[in-house]
Amino acid sequence: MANYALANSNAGTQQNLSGTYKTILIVTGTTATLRRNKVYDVLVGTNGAPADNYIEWDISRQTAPGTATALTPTLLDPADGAAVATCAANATAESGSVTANSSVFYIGINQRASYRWVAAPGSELVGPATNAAGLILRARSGGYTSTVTATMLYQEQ
Amino acid sequence: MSLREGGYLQVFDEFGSTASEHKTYTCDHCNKVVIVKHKMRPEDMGGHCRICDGLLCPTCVATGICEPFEEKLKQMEQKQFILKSYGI
Repeated sequence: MANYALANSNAGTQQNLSGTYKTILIVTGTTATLRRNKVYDVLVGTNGAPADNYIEWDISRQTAPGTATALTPTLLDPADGAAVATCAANATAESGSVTANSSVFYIGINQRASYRWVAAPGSELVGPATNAAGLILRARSGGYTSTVTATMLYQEQ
Repeated sequence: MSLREGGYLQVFDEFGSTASEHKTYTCDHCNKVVIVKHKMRPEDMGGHCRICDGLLCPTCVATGICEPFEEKLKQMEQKQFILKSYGI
């Protein structure tokens, strides 16, 4: 079991939010090296000019990622091996393969606030050991039209 | 953190201080994170499955059937394992 970090500052260009969901981070299985990916820590916030707007954050299941910049997960323990999952950040084209009504994490927050969710062991968000399937972190806002920051920590099992 | 607690959610204000903290649990039938708000009525949180002894989100409580998330995961993975066993 190795732990990895994904941050949307590590790959691609952060995209401005709009009223429709923008994909911030993606973690999916890869055929040759299938493992379950378990998200246990999520940190979200904004890096635009402070104002009072709402932002909706969502983690859903997907069966195929959209167009996003490949992201190499950062090892939390440098002695572990490289991640085998396929990860990406800051999508420029949204996936059409997000499973409807599959949200496992949904929260509306004020733009000025930042949030952190941490799972207790055994309560992680689990992505199946299936090619191209996994979890997708998205955000949308009707008022905030700048960029956001997000970090997810996950475990491969 | 108690054994049944599935995690916690921290909210930080614009100055970086902790504005509020909430306990959470993860639904044993669909894997959804449920935020336990302060002074929330238990029936609004979700419920408990007497078959698998899991904590459930309100949506899964309403279905009235026991479908553990682990079984759903296995179903998602089954097709992939079959294809892999054939070398595809």
